[in-house]
Amino acid sequence: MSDPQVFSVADLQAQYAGCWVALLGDDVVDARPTPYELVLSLRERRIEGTTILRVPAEDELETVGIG
Amino acid sequence: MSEDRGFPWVFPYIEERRSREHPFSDRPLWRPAVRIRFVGPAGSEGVLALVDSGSDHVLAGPWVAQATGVDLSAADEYQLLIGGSARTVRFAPVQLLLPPPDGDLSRAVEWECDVGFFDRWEPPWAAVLGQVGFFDHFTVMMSRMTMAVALEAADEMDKRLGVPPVDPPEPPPRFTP
Repeated sequence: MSDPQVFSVADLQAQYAGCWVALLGDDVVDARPTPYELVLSLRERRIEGTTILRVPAEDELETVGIG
Repeated sequence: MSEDRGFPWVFPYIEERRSREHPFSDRPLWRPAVRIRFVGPAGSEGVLALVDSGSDHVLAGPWVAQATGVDLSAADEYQLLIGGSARTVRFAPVQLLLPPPDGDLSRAVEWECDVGFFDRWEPPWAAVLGQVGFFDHFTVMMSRMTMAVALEAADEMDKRLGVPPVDPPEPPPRFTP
């Protein structure tokens, strides 16, 4: 059985709401307004192995059934 | 495959926060999601992707194609409804790399599938993992009771429940050369 890793996007919302963020493990290593800027910044800083996601804005409507 | 990979892989749901005005604002929002890497000619990009049994496709934002060097210039354009609105999507073959929950790349599963890249992308997740391209590579179990999604070998349902796989239908025209 794999060891589960708990991660909460909600914990990032106070600081990064509306931003695209890059995680190394569970730590934010960069955050930008767009994914294009984020990828460029990561390449310039030679940071690899990140996981990218967007942190929803505080007033953002809940998304359902997107696919 | 299960012996080598150490299945089952259990990924806890990801917690999001609802807006304060939401009628269920006191109830956390939990999503089945995994960390996955898209691999293209220009490199790989890791994203948090929603596991979505209701989607027939693996879908991603346009920036993922750009970041990994996936060439969409010769791809045909299609229209798909997303969130009730029509969006242009172009499909291209992409390598996907899924590590286990502990991130051990030596046990990662890698496969190729057609990924649809939208011209615009609004969801919080960078990608959506749907029936063709994800659910056809694993047995997927999701539990609201445990707030987790578990991945096992593709033949696990047959082994456990005696439900054999069915032959997949012929692929739609866009996937044929």
